[in-house]
Amino acid sequence: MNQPPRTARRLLTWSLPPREREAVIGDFAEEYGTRVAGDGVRAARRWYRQQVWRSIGPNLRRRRATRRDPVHAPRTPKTLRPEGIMTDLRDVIRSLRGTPGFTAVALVVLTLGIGATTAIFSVVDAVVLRALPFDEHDRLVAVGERRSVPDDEEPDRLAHIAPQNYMDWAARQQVFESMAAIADSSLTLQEPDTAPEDLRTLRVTAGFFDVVRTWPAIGHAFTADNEIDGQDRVAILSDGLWQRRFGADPDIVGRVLSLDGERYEILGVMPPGVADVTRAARPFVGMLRPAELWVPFVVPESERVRKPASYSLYLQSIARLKPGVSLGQAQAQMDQIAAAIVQANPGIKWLEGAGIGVGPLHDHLVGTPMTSWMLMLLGAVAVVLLIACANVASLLLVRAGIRERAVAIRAALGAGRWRLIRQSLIESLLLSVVGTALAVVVGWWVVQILRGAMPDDVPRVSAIALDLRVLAVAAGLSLVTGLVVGIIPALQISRPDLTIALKDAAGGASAGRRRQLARAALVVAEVALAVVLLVGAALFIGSFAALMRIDPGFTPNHVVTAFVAPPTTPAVFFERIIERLEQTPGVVSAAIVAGGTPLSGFGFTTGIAPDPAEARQVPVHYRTVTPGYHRAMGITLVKGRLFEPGDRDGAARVILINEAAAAAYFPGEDPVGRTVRFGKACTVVGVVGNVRQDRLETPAVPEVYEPMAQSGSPTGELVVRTVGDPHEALPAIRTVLLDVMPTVPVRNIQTMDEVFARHTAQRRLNMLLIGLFGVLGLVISAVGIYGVLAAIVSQRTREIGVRVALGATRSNVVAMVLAKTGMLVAIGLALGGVAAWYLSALARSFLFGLEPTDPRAFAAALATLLAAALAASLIPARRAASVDPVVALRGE
Amino acid sequence: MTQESLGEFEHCVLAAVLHLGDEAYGVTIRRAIGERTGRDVAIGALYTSLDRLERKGYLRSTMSDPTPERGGRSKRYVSVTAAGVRAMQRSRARLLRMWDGLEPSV
Repeated sequence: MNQPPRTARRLLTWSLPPREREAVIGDFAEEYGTRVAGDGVRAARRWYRQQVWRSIGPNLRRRRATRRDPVHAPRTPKTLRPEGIMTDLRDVIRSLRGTPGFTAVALVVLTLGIGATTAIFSVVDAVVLRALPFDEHDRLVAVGERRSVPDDEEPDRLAHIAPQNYMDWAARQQVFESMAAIADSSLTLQEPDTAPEDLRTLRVTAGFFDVVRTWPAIGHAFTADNEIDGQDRVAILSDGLWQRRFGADPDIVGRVLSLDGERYEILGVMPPGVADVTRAARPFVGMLRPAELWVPFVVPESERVRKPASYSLYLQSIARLKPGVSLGQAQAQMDQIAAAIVQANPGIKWLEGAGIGVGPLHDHLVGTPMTSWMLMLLGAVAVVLLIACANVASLLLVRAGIRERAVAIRAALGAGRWRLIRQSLIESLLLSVVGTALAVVVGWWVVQILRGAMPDDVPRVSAIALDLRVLAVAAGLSLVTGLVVGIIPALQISRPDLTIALKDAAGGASAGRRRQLARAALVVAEVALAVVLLVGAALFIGSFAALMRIDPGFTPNHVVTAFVAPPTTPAVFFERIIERLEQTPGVVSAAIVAGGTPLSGFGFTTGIAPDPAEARQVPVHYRTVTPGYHRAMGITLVKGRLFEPGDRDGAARVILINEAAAAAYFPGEDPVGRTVRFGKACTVVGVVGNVRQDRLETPAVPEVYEPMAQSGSPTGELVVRTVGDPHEALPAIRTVLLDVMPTVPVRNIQTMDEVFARHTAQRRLNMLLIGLFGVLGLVISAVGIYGVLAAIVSQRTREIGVRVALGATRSNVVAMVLAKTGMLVAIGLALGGVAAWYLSALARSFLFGLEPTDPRAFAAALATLLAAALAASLIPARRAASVDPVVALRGE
Repeated sequence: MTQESLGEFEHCVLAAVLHLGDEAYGVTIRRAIGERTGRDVAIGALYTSLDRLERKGYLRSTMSDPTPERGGRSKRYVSVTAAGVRAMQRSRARLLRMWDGLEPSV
């Protein structure tokens, strides 16, 4: 207890200038000791606390003084003191705190601008910019067939590969140090006492692990020896599957699994977080789950030799370039190989016109449309940031005007030009740094929202985050913003006209001229940039509206679908499933369709002869359905009848056609009752409405439906229409499916609403983001217009007073003020309109249902901005109108 | 240039230091002022004055060796400079001139 009170002592130490600690703490200790001996410990401690408490104030004042002035030099008047950056910083903080209104507006504007940019950048970075997480990833390539398959979305995309071709490529190539084929598939894991589970499986050749340089963390990879029938029943688990289904069992290697009814030996477990290197074919986009199994790919016996007419493209290939081999060299060799294959295989029709493409794996996985979409978003948000910069620069100019006298005095007292510029830059940098700190908070929150809002086909969504990379970019942004924003006012400040500034107390009518010009230019820029954003917003809103106006041809709500693949005798299983489901409470109707549900992009094509007497056939899409399909999917019957249970095997063969087919094959006639040749002779019993089967944007093509009972299909999609929310009926549907087919997992359950949302997600997001940017740009530039006008009105109060005294009416005054903004806004609108005219062409591929130069979009954008400008002018104009000449003139 | 005058407290501090001679440091100065004027000065405030007087050139200070009863800390001994003595004299003379003739009535 001989020690003085600890907290008080710490407080004392902290409050003292370091130089003084020795002596003062010593004094405290000495007198404390004396008092302990004299008055006792309690009194001494009380004394000590009291002393510390009373000394803190003086101590802190001394501490501050020594910091400012460490050598203890005699104090000199403030303006003459040699000043460092810290002093400037303190001055700037003081002056910013003195004008809270300005500081708040500038910070809000910068926070919004930098926050939006940071958030969008984090998305673009994760999706497009970031390298693949593999060792020496720049040597990874994708190899694929180059076929003239028209893909209007992405013409340069690599096609999947026929196994015969892949075998030749792999055998002949000398440019890759390793190469692998990948077949994307699935296997059903069937463990005793658990429901069967469908696992996404990559069937890969042994080179896969060398290409990605990722090997099992436990156990080992398989080798080329496993690529022989009989040796190929081995599997490698994903870390996730190992944890989830096997409780991270360390002795997993060597265990045997039942996959699709076959026994597979587990060879190893991959490390966590293996990035996906496959790209789904378009109909399956958004349905990719992470791979959970890797098993050897063995080329099926039937696909080792090329057949003249039939082939199937389903392999993907990745490879690692040998060190020193360029992409161009690899492409050149693959071109030679392609030519050699064509030459060695005369009579194989499907080889003609097909080449081999090699491209960076990263670019292949992300895809050109995704990259340009992401860059467009980045460009749009950059415009928001520019507007924010222009706005804050213009606010700083106003401050520069207010502080001009102070600055002039300093300059007169000998403050150097550099010094004045420096102070101005410190101010803008400080604003942008604080703005960025706030923006990171806002950005973090926006990123959480964006991650959930991303369409399913965006790759690497899970990697979207505000990580160090993004923070570094935000820091860079903040620095650049600070400099950009500060440079104009700084240059203004650096050449103040001392005599005028000092002479004219009113703020300098002529000295302010240059500054006013700069502000006017900034307002014009803000308006022009906002117009560009608003035109973009209008175009995307228009596109989304056009998309929503499309009649998809079916009624998506209350419909859920699932893939069913009965183990045997599908017709029997289908019937049993439908029967059981239609007795289930909450289910309105159930049906099976083979050939793809609407918007799946999936479809079968065959030939149809509308006139059975003619040999001429035209291609047609077809689907095989059970009688309840059209009712369950909500497809309208236009004419005739739908399928009935009586349309079975043995009965008269019937088909339904859609309106597009009716218009194409029977123009101006009634197709119902007509006979066509569709395989065999069939009677058209009805016409149903067109359905968008591929994408919402793609119009329907001629289409035929045939009864399941008259043709059959091994697999199909179950379609169930429910009374209420289809998710509520899911457990019952699952139970029925597992009851009827206990060994078959329930696969690919989705509601048609989800499918619909997936098809509208990108346009919806575009509309929301660009719309949001447009609103931000609009509000910020309205604030800018308001600021300029308000400054003009307050600077000209005297002039307005004189005019009113001389008989000007209120409307004269308002007109004079409005003419000022009118000019700026008009120039901004014109410049922005022209810029938007050229820039919107860049967005053409993202628009739907309207041209990039859609006059309605331009009109809407210009009108919105004009309205905002008017609203922003209202308060200053009214203030000008209410100027009292007596007060205004007495003010002098 | 007019000579800067001393504040009353500064005057007290300088006087106390002169009284204490070689033994003038924080604790003793505080005690001396307390004994003579009844003022309980905060140590922090005392040091502010010592600082200011030193900066004006009226005091100079030296650090002693550390002593155990002070928790192993050194003392900051101060002594009055010639300029300090002159300042005290000026201050005293001014005050006396102002007091001249007031004594009987106050």
